[in-house]
Amino acid sequence: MLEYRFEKSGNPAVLRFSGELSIDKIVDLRNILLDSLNQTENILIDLEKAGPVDMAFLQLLCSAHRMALKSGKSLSVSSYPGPFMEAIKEAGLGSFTCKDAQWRSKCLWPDTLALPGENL
Amino acid sequence: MGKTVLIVDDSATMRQVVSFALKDAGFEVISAVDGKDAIAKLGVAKSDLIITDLNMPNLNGIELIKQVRQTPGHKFTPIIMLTTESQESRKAEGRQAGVSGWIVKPFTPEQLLGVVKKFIR
Amino acid sequence: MKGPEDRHKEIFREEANELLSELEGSLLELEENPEDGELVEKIFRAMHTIKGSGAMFGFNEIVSFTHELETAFDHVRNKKMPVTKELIEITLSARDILREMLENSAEGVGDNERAAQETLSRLKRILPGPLKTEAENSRLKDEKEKENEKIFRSSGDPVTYRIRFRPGRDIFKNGINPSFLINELMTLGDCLVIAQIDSIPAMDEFDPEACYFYWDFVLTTGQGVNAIKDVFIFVEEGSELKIEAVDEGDPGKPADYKRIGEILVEKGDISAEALKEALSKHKNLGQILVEEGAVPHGRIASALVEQQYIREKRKSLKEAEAAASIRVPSRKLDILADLTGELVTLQARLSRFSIAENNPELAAIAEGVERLTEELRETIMGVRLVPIENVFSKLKRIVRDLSGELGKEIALEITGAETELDKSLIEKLGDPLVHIVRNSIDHGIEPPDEREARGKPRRGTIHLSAAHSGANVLIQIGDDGKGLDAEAIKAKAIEKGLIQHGTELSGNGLYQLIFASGLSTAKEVTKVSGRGVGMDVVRKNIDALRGTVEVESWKGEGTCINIRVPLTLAIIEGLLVRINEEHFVIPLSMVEECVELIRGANEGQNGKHIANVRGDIVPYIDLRELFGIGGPPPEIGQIVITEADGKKVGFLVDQVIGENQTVIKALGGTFKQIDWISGATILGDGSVALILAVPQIIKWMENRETERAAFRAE
Repeated sequence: MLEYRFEKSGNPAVLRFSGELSIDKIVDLRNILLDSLNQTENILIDLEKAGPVDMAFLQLLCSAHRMALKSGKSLSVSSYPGPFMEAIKEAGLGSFTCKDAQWRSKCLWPDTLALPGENL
Repeated sequence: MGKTVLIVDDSATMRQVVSFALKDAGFEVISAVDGKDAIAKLGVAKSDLIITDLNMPNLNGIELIKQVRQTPGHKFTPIIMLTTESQESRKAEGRQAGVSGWIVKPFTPEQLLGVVKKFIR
Repeated sequence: MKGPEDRHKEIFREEANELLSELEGSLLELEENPEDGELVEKIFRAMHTIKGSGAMFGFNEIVSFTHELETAFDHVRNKKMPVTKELIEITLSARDILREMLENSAEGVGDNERAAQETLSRLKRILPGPLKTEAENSRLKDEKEKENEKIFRSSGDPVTYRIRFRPGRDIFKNGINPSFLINELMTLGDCLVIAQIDSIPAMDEFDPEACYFYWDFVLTTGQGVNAIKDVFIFVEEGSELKIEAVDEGDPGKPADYKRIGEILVEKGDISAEALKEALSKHKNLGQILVEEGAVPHGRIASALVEQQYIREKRKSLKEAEAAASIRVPSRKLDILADLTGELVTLQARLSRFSIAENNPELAAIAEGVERLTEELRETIMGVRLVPIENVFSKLKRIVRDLSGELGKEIALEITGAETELDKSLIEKLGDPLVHIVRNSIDHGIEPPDEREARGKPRRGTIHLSAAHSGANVLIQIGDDGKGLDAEAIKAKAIEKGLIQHGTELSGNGLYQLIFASGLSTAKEVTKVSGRGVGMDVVRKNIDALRGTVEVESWKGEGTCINIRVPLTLAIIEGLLVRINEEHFVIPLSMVEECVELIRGANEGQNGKHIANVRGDIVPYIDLRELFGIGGPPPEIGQIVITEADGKKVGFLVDQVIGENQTVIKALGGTFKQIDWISGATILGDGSVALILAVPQIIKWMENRETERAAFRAE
């Protein structure tokens, strides 16, 4: 059972998920995200009440973020509660993998790893 | 929350061995005596991992794997097959059907757990 | 009390008995309806189950017996064999044997082997193909064991690996969650995970059930590369898995690690050309590469992480090493070695004295002192030993930089880097090795296009190796370049007056001329190898270490330089010889054999001494003459035949006393001028013996010959 709530009236519009977010519901999750994104210019994803997330969900978020950037919209995550942060670290994700310095500030992922100055 | 494993084998010995090893490691275990029984069990109980023999009456292992992949909620459930042969052809057949891993008989409980832990915790 | 194992066994027996009862009925039924496929399936499955479950509890007899029956029914079910009365009969008696086997296994008695063998040979006669032989069965068993072993493993020294894992897109659909694999990898040791996300498309092109992530890992583990492969055993098909060892965890390595560009090229993330171009812009490399889209940022992050990780690893390793050891000025070690040398000498005197005294108590003391001295000496020498890797790693850098500069592609292969030799030797070997390697790069290895035209791989190879060989260390520097040009060397040598026109020198003898001073055959003087200084300097340095250097070369195929140096400078194994009252030591590493010389038989002509050793003509030097020692020579002298730089030369002495371990003392003052002597040693009785510098003496002799020949020619 997928539980979510989309509050599109606010700015940003807020999409709240709860429960486990994983590959088993990934097609539904994609549809919800895509629908919501289509209805607003500025969306905030709230995972405070979300349970465990898996890699399929993480890459879906990344893809949604890319979609938003591509269409000149904004998509962000309100916070990184425990299970979410855990999954991010476990997957080896972090802003350090993102495109370049300017992009890094827009990157969806938190700073999970301090990189040294580039020593060439 | 404990994870549940479904062991499918027509041999009572194998069911016993697998279930003993897994319960010892803290998993819930349910058993099915053949493929048909397994499909029925999947309908009523949650299963996070399926371990199945290949040679069984009433729906063999490969057919079971294919059917599980079509069963709602089990498209991505890990499935381990028990096999007596280590031939590549057998593995390829399993992989084609959607199997996640395999273990070759005979095996020890430790070896079984080593494989199981590649798929669930 | 019964453990779970026993309970399992019991259940197996019950189950097998049940199956055997059913089997009887099925077989009888099959006799009536031989075409009933379902019955055949059922019988096959019964066999299969008994075999599979039996194997779990070591019912080996039952397993191998059932295996043959299973094979037979496999044939039947594949329509390769008909159901006959005989088959039914054999299977029924097999069933009875199985039942007995089961009962016997419970009681631990009985022998069913004969009956089983009989039944099997009957079965064999009616099978279409040959039954699997014992050997094959055991092979199958081995394979199975290996298969499961793949998943379970052993350990060794920690090594740092760089791993890239790019799963197949459909990995989720096979029920595989990569996070468990990552978790398992992390249990192997220290591990860093870097997800690569450049393949994830925007949502309009995104398949939510496909896996777009791929990963780079830096892992330090002592469990070996197979343990890493085992993590990915179920996904190897359809996935990309690259595992490279990047750091062996040697505390001797500098804490510095490769540069980012280097790492990226190694990983194949960018080409060497792209790197060169980016570097030429003198900006932050990562920024340039990303701006140009040459490489996704994640890849650079991954290289950075690897760099940082290994630096930290090396630093902590160094700290751990530092905590476990202390630094001592090498001067102190030298003094210790010197003192030990004196002790060895004194101990030899003690031993001689105790033998002469014939006092058992004194003999026991002398023996004890001898043992301890020997141990002390070995320990001191051991402390001074360092791996040659220190020199080799310097060469890595030279190969890398110089080949780039000269536009050549060169791979450096190193073997035996762990070979240890005396610290002072290591220091003195550096320059000669650098010279030789530079020469190989500059003159040996051809430019890539030229190599290709000659049918060689574009990339040349320089091979460095070190190995112990007796009391020596053999260092070889080989390349697969164009080899030495014999004609050019000859022409140059004649021009420089090193050899006479018309002198016949065979290939190897000729090649040794490259070590002569002033001989450089490179047509153009390059800034790399300079103008003909180099190889003669190499020779001088190696001579000073009491070593030898030789060159071998094959035109068009390459050159190999062999350097032999003694393990340690402080002690040599020598042959002690006597002329009148004077003692000399000849380094044992150069001694080939000793022969007798009857005076008057082969006395030299023109001051040139020639001995006939089993048909070989060997020139020899009369040491009495060379050092101007008086006294009458004995009737029968002895010639010590030595070999240095590929040439045999003898030394005539009065008597060969025997082998001894010689602690070398440096010579001071006036002796320093004499280059025939490489050092001195103090004998047990307190007298001094000089150590002959064999290569120098030979060279001196050759020069004299050449001068004389020239003189005569005029």
